[in-house]
Parts: sequence; C-alpha cells; structure tokens
Amino acid sequence: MPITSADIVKVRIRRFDPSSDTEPRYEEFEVPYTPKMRVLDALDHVHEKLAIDIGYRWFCGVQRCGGCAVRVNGRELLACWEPAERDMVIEPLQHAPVVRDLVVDRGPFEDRLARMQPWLARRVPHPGFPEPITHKDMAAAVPSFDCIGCLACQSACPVLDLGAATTFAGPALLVQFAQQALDPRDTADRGRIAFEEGGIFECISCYKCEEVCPVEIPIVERIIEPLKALAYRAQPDRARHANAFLRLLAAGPWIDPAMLVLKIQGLAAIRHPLRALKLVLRGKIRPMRTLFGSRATGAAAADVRRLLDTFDRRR
Amino acid sequence: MTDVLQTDVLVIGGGAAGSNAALKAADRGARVVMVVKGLLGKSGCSIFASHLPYHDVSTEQKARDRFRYSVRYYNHYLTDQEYVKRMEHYMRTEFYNELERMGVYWRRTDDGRLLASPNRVPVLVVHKQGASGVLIMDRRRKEIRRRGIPVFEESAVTALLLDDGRVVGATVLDCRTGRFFVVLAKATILATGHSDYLASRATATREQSADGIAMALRAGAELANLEIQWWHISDMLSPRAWMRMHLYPNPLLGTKESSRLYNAQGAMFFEQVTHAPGASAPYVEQIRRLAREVTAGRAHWDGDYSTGYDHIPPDVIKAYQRQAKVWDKLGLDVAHDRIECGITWHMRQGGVNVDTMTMATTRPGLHVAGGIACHYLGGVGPVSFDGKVAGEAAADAARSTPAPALPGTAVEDEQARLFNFLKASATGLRPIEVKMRIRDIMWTLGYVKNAEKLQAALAALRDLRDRDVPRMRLQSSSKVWNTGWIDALDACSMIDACEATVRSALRREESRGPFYREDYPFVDNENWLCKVIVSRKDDEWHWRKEPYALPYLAPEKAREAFFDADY
Amino acid sequence: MKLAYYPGCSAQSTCRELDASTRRVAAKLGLELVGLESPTCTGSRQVRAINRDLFLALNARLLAQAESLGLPLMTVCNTCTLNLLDTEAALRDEPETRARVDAALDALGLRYRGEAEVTHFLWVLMDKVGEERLRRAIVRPLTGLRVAAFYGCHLVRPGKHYGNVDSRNARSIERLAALLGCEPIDYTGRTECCGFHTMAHNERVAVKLSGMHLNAAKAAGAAAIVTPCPLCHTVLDTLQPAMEAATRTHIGLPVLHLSQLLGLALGMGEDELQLDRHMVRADRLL
Repeated sequence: MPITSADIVKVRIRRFDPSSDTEPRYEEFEVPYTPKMRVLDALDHVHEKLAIDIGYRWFCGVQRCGGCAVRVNGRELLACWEPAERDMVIEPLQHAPVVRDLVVDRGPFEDRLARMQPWLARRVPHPGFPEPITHKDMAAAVPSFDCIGCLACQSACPVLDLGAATTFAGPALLVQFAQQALDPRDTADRGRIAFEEGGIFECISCYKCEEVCPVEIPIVERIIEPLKALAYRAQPDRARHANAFLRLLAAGPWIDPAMLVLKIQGLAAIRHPLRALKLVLRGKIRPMRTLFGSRATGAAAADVRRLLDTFDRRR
Repeated sequence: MTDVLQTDVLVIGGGAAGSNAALKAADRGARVVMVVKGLLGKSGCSIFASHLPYHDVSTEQKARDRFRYSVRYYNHYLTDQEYVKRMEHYMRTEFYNELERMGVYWRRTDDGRLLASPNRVPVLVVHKQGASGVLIMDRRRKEIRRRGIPVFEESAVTALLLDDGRVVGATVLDCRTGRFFVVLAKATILATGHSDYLASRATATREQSADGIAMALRAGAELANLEIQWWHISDMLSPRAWMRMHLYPNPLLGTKESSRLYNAQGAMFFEQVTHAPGASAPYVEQIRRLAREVTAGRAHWDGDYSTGYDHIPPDVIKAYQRQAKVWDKLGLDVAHDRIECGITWHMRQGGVNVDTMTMATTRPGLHVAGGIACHYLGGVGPVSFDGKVAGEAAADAARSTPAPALPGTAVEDEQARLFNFLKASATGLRPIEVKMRIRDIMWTLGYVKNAEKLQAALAALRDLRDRDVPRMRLQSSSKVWNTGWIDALDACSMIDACEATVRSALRREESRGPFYREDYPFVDNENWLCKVIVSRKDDEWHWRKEPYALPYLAPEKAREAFFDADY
Repeated sequence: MKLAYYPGCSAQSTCRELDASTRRVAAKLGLELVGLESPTCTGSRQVRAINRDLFLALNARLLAQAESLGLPLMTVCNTCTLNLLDTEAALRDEPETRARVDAALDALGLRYRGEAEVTHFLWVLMDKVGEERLRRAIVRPLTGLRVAAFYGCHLVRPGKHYGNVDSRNARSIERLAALLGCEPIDYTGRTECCGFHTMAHNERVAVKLSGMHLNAAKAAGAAAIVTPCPLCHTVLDTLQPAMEAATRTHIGLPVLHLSQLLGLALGMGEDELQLDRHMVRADRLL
C-alpha cells in the first residue's frame, strides 16, 4: 500500500559516538510522511524538527555530491534520492570506518584511489581546444563519468567483507579509475595498475554494485569487464584464470573444471588430498579423463577454433 | 597549546574558485593550505553547474552579444566592465582548454564537433546537461591531490585572525574530531561562494551558512550589493530534499527549445526562447513574470505553478538531460507530465568589496575569489578566473610578506567562544531551531520587499540575536561530528550575513534585476547605478554608495518602470 | 512441450547429476528436451571479460542453433543464462558489434536472427508448466522439509534482464518449494553470491561468503539448500567442509539441485536423482 500524508514513518537510526559509546545503539523516531518524501527528508526531520543532533552527511540533496549514501533496511542507497519507506532501519555504509552515527570516513578510499593515479596521464598534452576527439572515441569512458563517488557500491561489495585478505580495490575505486583507464586520451599503463592496485580479477561478478548504484552505471559490464580486458592485454600471463580458460576452450568445446583448476593452480591444486579423493569417489572429477583426455574433435570444437582465430588476435 | 600551521597562502573554500586559487598559487611556487567546510569539490554550489556559456566571439556581433549579455542581462550593470573583458578573454583562451587537459570531456557529436546548443547564448556541457559541475570539480579535486596540496576537509574556518589590521590567517575547527587549530598565512583567500542556505527554501548546499560573508564583516571588510539576491523559480516543490532540483529554463542541449512554465490554470507564462533577450539569463525575468501571476492569484510562491519539457521530443531530453531522470524516479512521464515548483533563494550578486585586478579586499592580507566577491554574478567559469587572479596575486603578495606571528589573545578568545558552546545551558533553543527561524525570517521577507517588511525582518533578526543566540543549548558535548556544535557556529554566521543583507536592501531605493522593492518599483540608473556598501565597526553599521564606471556599455534610460525593463 | 536444452559445462562434468535429474524430471512432466546441434561453453565470466566479441560470437552461435530448431532455449545454469541474455541485448543494441558477430557466424554457415527465447529450468517450471500442472504431478509431498533457497546472482541480477529493482524480492524458488510441500526458510543469504567465479584461483572468497550464507541458513532452521545453479552448487557442496573448518562450525547442509528437489516430490528415487553424487550426504533427507 502506498504511503500517504496521513502516515507516520518509523525511523530507527544506528547511533555511535566513538568518543563516548562502546557499542552502537538504535534510536527510534516517528516522522510524519510528506509528499514524495525521500529518506533524507526523514533524516532532516529528525535533525530539524525534533532537534536531534544525529551525525549524517549530505550537501546537495539532488544526487550530485554523493555525500548521503547510507544503508536502509540492509540496502545501500542515496538518502536524497530514494523514497522513504514506512519502516526504516538506517545505518552507515560498510567497508569504511564510522566517524559518528551515519557518517563514514572516506579517507582510506581516497588514499587508495590516489595510488591508482586517478588523473589523466598524457605523454604530450593536446595544445589547443577543442582536441579532435569524437563522442564515439569516448563511448567506453562515458558511463564512468556518471559516477558521483557515493561509495554505495563499495559498501555493497561482498568481496570487501574479506578486509585485508583480499587485494580487490572495490567497485567504487574501479569506476573512478575507469574514468582515466577507459579514456582513449590517457597514456598511463592502466592495465598494470588495474592488476597491482585494483586486484581486478578478484571481482566475483555478483552485480551487487550495479544493483545499488544510484546513477545506474552498468559497473560489471561497462567498467570491470573492460578493465579486466585492459589488464589481460597488458599482462596476459598474470591473468591465470582467464588464460587457462582460453586455452581449455581452444582444446575443446566444453570446460572441465578440474582441468581449469589444475591449469591455474598447478601442483597446489592437490593441496587438499582428502577432498580430491572424495571428489573422485563421488564422480565429481574424473582424473583419467582430465589428464589423458585428447583434444576434442567435431563440429563444435572446429567452430570454436575458427572463432578464436577470428577474435583472439594474439594467437 | 594550540596547533599552528604556517603557510604562504591559505585558501578557504573548496569550490571552483577556491580550487583554482589553490592550483594557481601553487603554480607560482607558494605553499598552499586549503580548508574546506564540506568536501573539496563535492560540497558547495559548483557541482550544480549545468551548461557553461561558450564564449564564441568569432564575429563582431557575437562578441558584442556576449558582452551585452554579461553586463546587462546577467549583472544589470552592477559589474566592473573591464573585469568582464578580462574574464571573457580567460574563458576564450584558458578555461575550457585547461579543464580538457585535466580530463574533462566536453560533449562532442559522434563526428567530433563540440555539441553546443544552437541558441543565442551557446552553452557547452560535460557529457550530459546537469552533470558538468560534478565532473569539473572532480577533476580539480584530483589535480589538487596529485599536486600534494594539503586539504583539511569537513573543517570549518571559524574566524579570520587579525594582527594590527592585517589578516594573518584563520582559526579552524575540524568537525570530525573537534580539533582546534590555527593556520597562519602570509595571504588568505576567502572563496566560500555566493549561495547560502539562508531561507527556508534555498538552492545552497547544507554547509553553506554565509561563513565567509560573516567572517569578512567581523574582520572589518566592506560588503557590497548583498541585497541583489537571485531566486530560482523552476525548482521542485517536493520532495523537500529536491528543492535544489532545478528544471532548467535555460537553452537545452540538442534542441532550440527551452522549458516552459505554466500557472495554476495551465496557461504558459514563461519560456526563455520566446522571452529573450531579457530572458537570456532567465531567472530574473522568470520571477518578474511569476510575480504577476502571484498578484493575479494564478500561482503561489511555493506551488500552484509548474514546469515541464512536454513540448520537446522526449528522446532529446533523455539523451542530453540529466534532469529527465527526475520524472522516471517519481513515476512520471517527461513527455506528458509537468512538475510543481516553488521559488528558492539562490545566488547573491554582491559580496565582499574587491579590487578586481588582484581580488584584494579593503582589508590587507585578505583576498576573495568567486561568488563571495561583489563584482560579478559568478558561474564556474568566471569564478575560476577569480581563483586564478586571487591565487596568483596572493602568491605574489606572500613573497614580499614576512611570516606572521601568532596574535595571542585573538586565538584564545576564539577558542573560548567555540568551546563555550559545549557547556550545557539549561534553557534556550537548539542551534538548529535558531537556524530554522533565521531561514523563516528571510523566506517571509521573500522577493517582494518594502521598507516595512525589511524593518520587520531586521527587528526579528535582532530579537533572535539578542535573546536566543547567546543561549543556544546543545544536545551533547561530544567533540566528534557534533551536528549541534556546527549548527551553533552556522547560526552565528547566518544572523550576521542576514542582518547585513537586510540593511543593504533598506538602503537601495530602487528595483533592479532580481531585487524588487514594491515601494520603489523602478530601475533608477540616475541614482542607483552604484554599489551599496555596508560595514560594521564596534557594533556600529556604516554604509556608503560607490558609482560604477560604464566604459563600454550603459543603459539607455535613466529611469524605467521595473516591470517594463528588459534586463 | 518441446524445448531446446543446453546443459552447459558443469552439468556435464562436476554436476552430471543435474543433467541426469533434469532429463528425468522433464520427461515426467511431459517436456521434450532437444539437444543443440553442436553446443559449446558460453565462455563463463572469463571469456566475456577479456574478449567480448569472441564471447558474443560463442553465444550467438548457440542462439542461432536454437533458432534453427525453432524452440525456446532452456538452460540449467545461472551464468549460462545471463551470458545468453547479455548476448541478446548486446546484439540488439549495438549494430556495429552485431555486424562483426554476424560476419563471424556467416563464416561458420550460421545466421542469428535475434528471435531466440532464452529461459531457465526454474522459469519453465513456473511459467510454462505452471503451478497447477506441477501440483497435479506431485506424488510424494515433501511435507515439513525446511529448505533454504539459494538463488545465486546471475538469475536475479543485473535487474535489467529480470525486471527487478531489488533482487532480494525474488520468491519463485520459495513458491515452488512451498508448492512441493516444503517449508521455505527465510535467511540473509538467499540472493547473495557464492563466490564461484574466483574460486579456481582464490578459494578464500567463496569459503568466506558461502560459509556465512550457509551458517545463516542453518541458524534459520534449514535442513537443506536448493539452488538453480550448478556453480553455486559446486561451492556450497564441495567447499562446505572448508567452510566448516574456517568458521569452526558444523554445517552439514545437503545441497540439492532444483531438479532433484522436484524429482523427490514427483516420487523419484534417490538413485534416479543421483543424490549420492554430492559431497555432503543428501541421500538421507527424507
């Protein structure tokens, strides 16, 4: 049922002041619904009308500054942009230290981004204006220009749950980085940076970043995958997974997962001998076929090889 | 013991003016420190920049049109015409080039032409209309990071420090931690913008509370033309957060059309392309026309009129206009539906009185850049020029200035003022309540002013200042992101700036551009083609007039009815 | 009802029980599955990232073969489904890309017309077979079996293909499970990621994420997991002991393919459904 002006919106805000609190607590407020109400309107009501000194960040209120991203009922959103719901649990973003209440520290994000050289690098800058470029030239970079740096996607990314155990920079950094990396004018070695600072191949392709992006950037398809391609072109040998996959594809029309793991990990693949034995016993892997299977023949395999010849110019 | 940082140039503010001032001062070899109340390049109004005037002067006629637009329609002759020439030269030769070198992409066509609107005043945008400021400021932000210029973000400058009449730096409160510190500078640049959240409906961002105006006033600098306050009329009525969502009345990229405004009866009362040239800078003409509708009972200042793009092919709007998303988000159809609007307190033409050659103020050691100055209305391009002028002049001045010494008691006094807010007070309003009342006073004053309303506003402000401001009551004494504490500081700035604004408005006995007094409903070029300058010394307000030179362009008529003027 | 059937790599290797059970269940429901002429892998996440044209051509080739059968193309794997759907969208929206792919297919003697319908076994059950026919086919209601749906990612995201804004609102597996007599469990991991796509080079992500989801399902009272994707299945089943070690908990949750859960309700035996092929024992569920 849609909310109407007669309704009351229940807002539970996660509050935490590190200078005095040991644990976060949730404080509940009742806010009268107003026409087309946004989540930010509810927070403003708590601040302005109830005169509660909640810590929350926003500047523009209209989806430009990226300051007001929070989690509402477990999902990242821009408070200024999304409609208020009848019942809202409002929490700060994840994967960033909390300054107070709903405000997170953007510092670690900015520092890591700086390591990725997020500025246009050119051997020889074009002297005049306008530089002869077309919209088509810029098509790959344009989606990344929509980014407002709100960090919603960074909070939603499950890989970042691993903290220091992953080298993945996270979607927000990669989108910002793509503004240069996918710009045809840029001349820095972006493929190497995507590997070394971006951990680009640690993306698990879950599309959670895209789902929460308030400016609807197709992050996986238009940012992360092109960056993977860039990294692969720069250093094909380091993209072990992709490389092994291509080689297997060339050998036959189907991928044998056991073979894939073996090709990527080498001998390390059998560091869990008990698991391997059980996999064999349950028929999950077939070692004889994996090790001694021959190169596939037939129409499918032939077609795959012809497509590889057409599109994989390195071969 | 208070932390003290020493630098050559201190830049206060992180928008287009402040960022360029920092970069240009650093280019000249100065050590620079920036203090930004919000986030560099994210807070402030520069991110709202939508379409940037393209200074096409390829023919004499175009050059004349361009200049006439700037002086007559954008500034109503309240500008330094020599400055306009210099600024336009910068726009032609430097502004676009430099941003493009930083990676800004000015929208091209598929075959590589700049996509400029085909209107009389051509505009350029960054990949989509409405997104320009975001990307421009993002590039500046990163360039400053690349150069390693230290930036203190979410840190409020609370006072300018004076030593023997000279500005020698500022006191700073880091809102994230409550750390109080001092930046001593050989030259200080104020760049806090021309848009402040001073009325209940305003376009300014949250942190913009006229701190720069208030600090300059307290430091004894002169303020000019504060009363020349612009209003938007095509901002959304609801949701409240979206009162800053401007549904552009300006030329629309990819089409010769512009949006239309309709009264409560559905009759169109404004369209830029039909109402040019007066509508070249449309907001002024828009609100005059809205005022007639309100008087006739066909609209209200907050609602009962609407705007839309429904006369324009929706694919054009969707291809080039970021704002089209608003319709989608509300479940409306941009091809059919219109959106109800209200007026919002927008930018201020006036500000700190300035020498436009150096952006120096009447106070030694203090420069200003951008919208906080009084010489031009602003815009990302012009304020970038100001930033360049101020940054270079400040760096040059710093070279011949000895390192200042810490003015002892002033720092202690300021620290005491700030930390006293944290001491519990038994009665009194919350700081946010004081802020809301100030905004309410200015909203009630509104667009249509007269002596009586101005006096009433002044009395209401004095009342708040005397009774409520000294007894503001915080909810907690935490030093970490204490919203109430920041609100208390804001309230002090706002009340000073609003009082100065109302006093200026009382002095100007005419109507001009966005400034309308129903008791003086005429443009009076004979007596009021001048700056109205106010200042405060020892709690005494002073004012004076200063006429403008008109070397290239002058109004034809000495006096004309306000509603008949085309500018 | 006839369908073109595309099992994908996993269902022909690590998860052969998925292929076997799908075929049996389909036969029982009167669905005739027709194989493609000469199918290949869809390229997983790897080919699509590093060589988009090759990826699109591989998938367009499959779509063209389905078109020549004149039948909807049914998959049993989330990632294959997404790959095929992405290919359809790219070839519809990007004329220049389409021209390159068309040329490559032409050299193979194939033509993609852009008419193929891509569907997943789950959607076939819910939309084509329909709840009424399913209900009538139930022989042995799985009354009281507390199952937790694990949708995985690529059947619910990106939302543009699936018509959703918030993938957490997906409910079709729970609807199916309830129809079979099960008691569907609500828990936080339903539409989360198993971590499969980096598992071959870095298991830790999969172990950590899926460990969290399985523990959540367990805490919510699940007795089994059901998933529409063999990739999710591989992680949730094969790596479960590693998750138990990492989280120092006993999970012991059998992981069933959608076809297996349905097969049980249709009265099939554990042998027929090859429940003994799982790492976590699933053959003592009922």
